[in-house]
Amino acid sequence: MTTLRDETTRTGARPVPASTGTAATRVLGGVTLLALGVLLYLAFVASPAAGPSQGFDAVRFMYVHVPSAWLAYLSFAVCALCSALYLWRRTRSRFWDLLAGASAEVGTLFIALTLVTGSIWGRITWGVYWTWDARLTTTAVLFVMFLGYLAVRRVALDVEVRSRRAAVVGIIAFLNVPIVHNSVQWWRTLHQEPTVLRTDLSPQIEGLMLYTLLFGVLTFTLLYAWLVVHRFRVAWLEDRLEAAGLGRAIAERRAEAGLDEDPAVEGVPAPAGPAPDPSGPAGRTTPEVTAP
Amino acid sequence: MRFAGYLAAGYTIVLGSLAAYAARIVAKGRRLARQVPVEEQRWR
Repeated sequence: MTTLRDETTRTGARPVPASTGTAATRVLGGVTLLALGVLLYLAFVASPAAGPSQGFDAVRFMYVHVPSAWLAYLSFAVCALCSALYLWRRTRSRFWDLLAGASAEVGTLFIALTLVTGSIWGRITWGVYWTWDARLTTTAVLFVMFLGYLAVRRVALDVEVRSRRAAVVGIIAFLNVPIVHNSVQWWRTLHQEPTVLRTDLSPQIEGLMLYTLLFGVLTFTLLYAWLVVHRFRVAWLEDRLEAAGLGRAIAERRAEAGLDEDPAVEGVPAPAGPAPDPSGPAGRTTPEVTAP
Repeated sequence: MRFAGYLAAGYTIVLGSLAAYAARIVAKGRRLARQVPVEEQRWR
């Protein structure tokens, strides 16, 4: 087994610090940071306030509020798709389960930011931080549902059982997304209807404002990709440690029972390296291991 | 600029939260990567 604190690559050609980053993710991160800087310039300097005579600068919230909402939708769609692939026997793999969890966690952050920015924007335009408007309420419900999804992923259960339950919850929670999106059309709401891409409106959204908004969506998409890649790799590492912790528990029980240690028992890899981080999943779970 | 305080608060919360989350997962990834064998880290 390779040394755990080895700071070299498998080829030993070049020292690489232990991390979830690669050259590709560093490039992606750099491009994302650059795009965020450009977005701030476009949002606060280049793009005009809404209405040349009004100076309504609150519209600048649009450049983070709308991208956050769209990226939350995308995150939950990826979560639901990966959950479905995990539940389908032909494609069942830990990869899909971990990717679903990573995407849902990032999406939950985005939906929280959507609620916060929308609340501040609402204080300016409506005079209140919160009202039980259909769009706001369904968005809050979506947020709570994905908090529940993340809670299910942390329940101390057998990994397979926990993953199956989480996948079902993820798919059910995603069903709320079209309700959130269409809530402004199905019910009378304070929140405006989707207007950005409608061509029948007059006047249309100002060109630079539209460009800034689309650039914001692109920037947040890059950020989403970077976050999900890193969160997925963290989940992968947690999963490996959890498997090692389970293997160690089985080995200890077998040793207590006086049986020979068989690291390959039940297909669980042998424990490797230092003890897993007690704050990680291995420290939280209580695997269903019984002494023979 | 009108509503500068609201805008500053909103953008600070958004960018600050995203930066804090990114820093958290990077730090956690570094810590966990030291505990897992290199051959199980497919990206390395």
